[in-house]
Amino acid sequence: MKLIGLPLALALGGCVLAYTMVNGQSFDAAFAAKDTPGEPAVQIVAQAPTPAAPAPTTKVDETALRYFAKLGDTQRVEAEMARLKALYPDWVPPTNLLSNDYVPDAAVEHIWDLFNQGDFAGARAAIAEKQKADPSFTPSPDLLHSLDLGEASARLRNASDAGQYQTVITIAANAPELLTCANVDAMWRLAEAFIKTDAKQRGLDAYTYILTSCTDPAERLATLQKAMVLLDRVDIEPLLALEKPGADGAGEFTAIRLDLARNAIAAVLSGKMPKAQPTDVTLLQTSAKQTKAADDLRLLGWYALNQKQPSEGRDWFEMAMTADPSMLSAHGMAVALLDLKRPGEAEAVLADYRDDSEALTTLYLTAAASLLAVQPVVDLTPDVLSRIVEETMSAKSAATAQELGWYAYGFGQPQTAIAWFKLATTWDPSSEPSAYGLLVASDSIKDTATVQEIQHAWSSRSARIANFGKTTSTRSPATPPASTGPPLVQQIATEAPARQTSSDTGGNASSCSRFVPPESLSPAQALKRAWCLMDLARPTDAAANFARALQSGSETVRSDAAYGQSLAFVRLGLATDAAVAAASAPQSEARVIQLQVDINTQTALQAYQIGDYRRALVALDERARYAPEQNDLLTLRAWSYFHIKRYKESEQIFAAVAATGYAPAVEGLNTVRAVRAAQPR
Amino acid sequence: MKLFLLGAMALVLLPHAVEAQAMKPSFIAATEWADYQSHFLAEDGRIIDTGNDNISHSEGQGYGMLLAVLAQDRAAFERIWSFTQTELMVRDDGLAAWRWEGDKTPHVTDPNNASDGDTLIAYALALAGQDWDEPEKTQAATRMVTALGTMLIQQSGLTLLLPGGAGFSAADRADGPVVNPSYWIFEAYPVFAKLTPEIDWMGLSAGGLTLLDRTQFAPSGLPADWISLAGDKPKPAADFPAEFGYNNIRIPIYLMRAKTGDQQLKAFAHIGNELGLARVNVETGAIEERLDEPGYRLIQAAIACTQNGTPIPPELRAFSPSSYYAATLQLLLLDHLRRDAARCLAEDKP
Repeated sequence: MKLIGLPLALALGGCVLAYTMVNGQSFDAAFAAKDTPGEPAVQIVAQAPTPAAPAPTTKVDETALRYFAKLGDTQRVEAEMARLKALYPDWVPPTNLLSNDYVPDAAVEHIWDLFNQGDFAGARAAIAEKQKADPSFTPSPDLLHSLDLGEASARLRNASDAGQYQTVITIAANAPELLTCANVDAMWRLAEAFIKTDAKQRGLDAYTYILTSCTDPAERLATLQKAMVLLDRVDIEPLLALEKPGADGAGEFTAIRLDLARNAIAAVLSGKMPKAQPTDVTLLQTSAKQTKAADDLRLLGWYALNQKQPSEGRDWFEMAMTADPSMLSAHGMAVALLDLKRPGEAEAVLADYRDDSEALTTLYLTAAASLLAVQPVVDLTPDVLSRIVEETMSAKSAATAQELGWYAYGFGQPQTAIAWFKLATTWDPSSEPSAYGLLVASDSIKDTATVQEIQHAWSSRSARIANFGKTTSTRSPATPPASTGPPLVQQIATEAPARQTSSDTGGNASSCSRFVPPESLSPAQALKRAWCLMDLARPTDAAANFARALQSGSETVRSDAAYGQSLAFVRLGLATDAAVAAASAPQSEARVIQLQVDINTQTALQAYQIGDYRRALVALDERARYAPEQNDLLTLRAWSYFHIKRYKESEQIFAAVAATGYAPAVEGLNTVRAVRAAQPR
Repeated sequence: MKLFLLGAMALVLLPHAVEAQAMKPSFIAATEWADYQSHFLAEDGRIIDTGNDNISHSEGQGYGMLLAVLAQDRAAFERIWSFTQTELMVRDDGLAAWRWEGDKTPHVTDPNNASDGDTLIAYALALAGQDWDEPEKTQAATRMVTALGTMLIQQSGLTLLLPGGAGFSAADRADGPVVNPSYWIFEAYPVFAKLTPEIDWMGLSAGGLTLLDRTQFAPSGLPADWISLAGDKPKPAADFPAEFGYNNIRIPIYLMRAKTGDQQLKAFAHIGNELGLARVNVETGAIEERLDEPGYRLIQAAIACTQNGTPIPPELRAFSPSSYYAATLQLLLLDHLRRDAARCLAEDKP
């Protein structure tokens, strides 16, 4: 046991007390004042109760000292020696502890024995028993004081456990000798009591005292860990600054700093914080690269994905896969690859783990469906295709079956496609896209009975199924698989994006109906004509004229042309081109916003129509940065959630929109509720 | 469970003072007290409630300390007090946490206080300080009595005692304040009044007696253990059984020991029926459980002797520990009878 006695001043509820323990050097936590080295151990107590301090002249009771010496317990001899020296600075220790010149009282030895076993109740009883047998017996002040301290220590611990923090502080104030490096636990509990009673600075003082004065590496580390639980990160920093080099030369709190970094990153992943401090991220990155700890590598991978850096995320998960080829690593890797729009690699990574958990099966099927939907169609190897088929069958995945259907249809195999679409409609009878696929494929082999059957069943719920064959012929096999649910999509899709009406749009309906090669016009003329063509709903011609106008020397004309061209592309459904066009000339802020709204609306609708519901949601999220969603797009969002089976979100949005009386949402709400009701559990 | 065993103690005659040596006279024989300790006191100083999953509580510690003073056993007192102080006296307000369980961590499983346990501990400390001339015990008693003063309330024109710091006041429950008439330990109040004259302990004593007058619920004529004082008239508190139960069987003991409330004692003369003490539903008068342990049967016998001079049956004069609670009540009553009602034990003296 090591006693480090240092004066520590603590302000306790209005009373200030400073006290000195054993040994010389001093640290004054409250006032940063230095006491004289080598001064005798004394209690300096101002306006506070004081424990009974033995007078220096009292005859020193060496019973315990000799008792421990007889037992050969050198550790306790040292401790007792230190304790007696502290109490009686003038005392000269006996040279031979085992000599016979001192005859200890066996009963007193027994009391010390009980005390040292922590049996304070037994020791108290034994004193009373000895007094009863020998009325002249007076226990030494040292023994009584030791018992008081032992009981105070136990009571402090119990009060702390019971959350009675004022009691903890009071006990510590009355028994400051408890607060030594030999009893760091008492100081931890005192620090906690201060912090829990809104005296954070006093708590920090206690932690600071430990880190300044106490040397046990495990206790120092534990001090930080205790502080971490009770204090905010910003309060921990000054404590971290008290770090000393560890045995290996590295800072002793390296592990703590890493823990803090992990906590900070985990806080981002759980949505408590938007971003971690770069120092934390760098610290963990450096460590993870060195240690190859898979948990850290994955944590960094998820963090990168959270921060929309899928490429970096992929790199971390790749390292994690090398360090720990497991379902956890594969999971993150696949998500990163899907974010990177590389479903083929995602499918391959997940292939070995696809049956390890329900989540991985779902993710695998998502990757497979995305892979099958890639345009232009990817020619999959028989191995890949067969495992996708196997998993689709075993999971009875309607979504993947549907994609397999379109995949077969795309390769001109309508019979195979029909088989898949039939499976998809069996597994999920509420899936309109599957029914639509079955309709298209059946129509291609002139199976009018099936076509009529589907139309009969779905006409009330799907406009495109109802109108199939009336406005268009069958789809060509090369057409990307279109799959949408609600009729509202067509409705939104046919609405022209909003356009600013201003005088510079110029032209009238009749002035531009005849074709004129744009190159034959001046940029200004072309601009005027382009707006005219827009009014005639001829976006292709308009786009060509806007392109001519972009060659103008006038910035105003160019800006206007770029904006017009964007609108034309949006109307053509070429959202990506629209974004490029918008960037080709400076735009006013209002126009930028309008364009972003239009572009993302278009992107969402297109994505929805080809069944890429996740991209539809991404586009809607992007659009939401510029303009609030109205009922039509909210309903589209709800259907998107519906198709990716996020029924809960879907139902929430449908319910909110339906509450406004919007009929399509009411219909959606009924559908999602029916599906949810039919789900197991 | 390891119980503390006093070795072979010398047999001591009854009912005279046990120990000379500047000790006050004791009316509890060393053998009886040793027997009690061997059953209910663990080496670490805790009193074990054997009828209640062997938990410990402030009430048990208080009874243990009081009995140790009555038995004039300073060593046992020190042992029980050390445990009480270190394990239960942890509350910020200076009162004792009431519930302690050996197999739980932390051991204090309910930091609320119970004012009967607090009263017993403070009373025992005051007696110890007085009997053994130990100023530190008197100081500890005074601190605790002062803290206990915060449990006093004024209600229905009476000074009354809240059973605990949390959960019983008008603010804490719809039918509050709720009181427990067995929490009045009448013999303690004159002692408390000397320690803290600024607190109206004798008013509390009077309030307790009036409370008994007002709570003889028809048809049983007995008070419920837990009583709501929210309405015009006292009534059994919600969420507690409407019964005269284990709590209230102590009331006659406290009245007799304090030599007060002769009038109120009459109400307890016929608890249950001629077959003996019982738990009684106060609203129907139905007997719910007969309480047959010797410690319980002695209560009725003591009332009968006090009121009618009926001698205590010989088999109830000897301490015969069964459960912690019955044994405790029996020792408290034997101490009282030997001290102040020797005539009840006069015939058939062994």
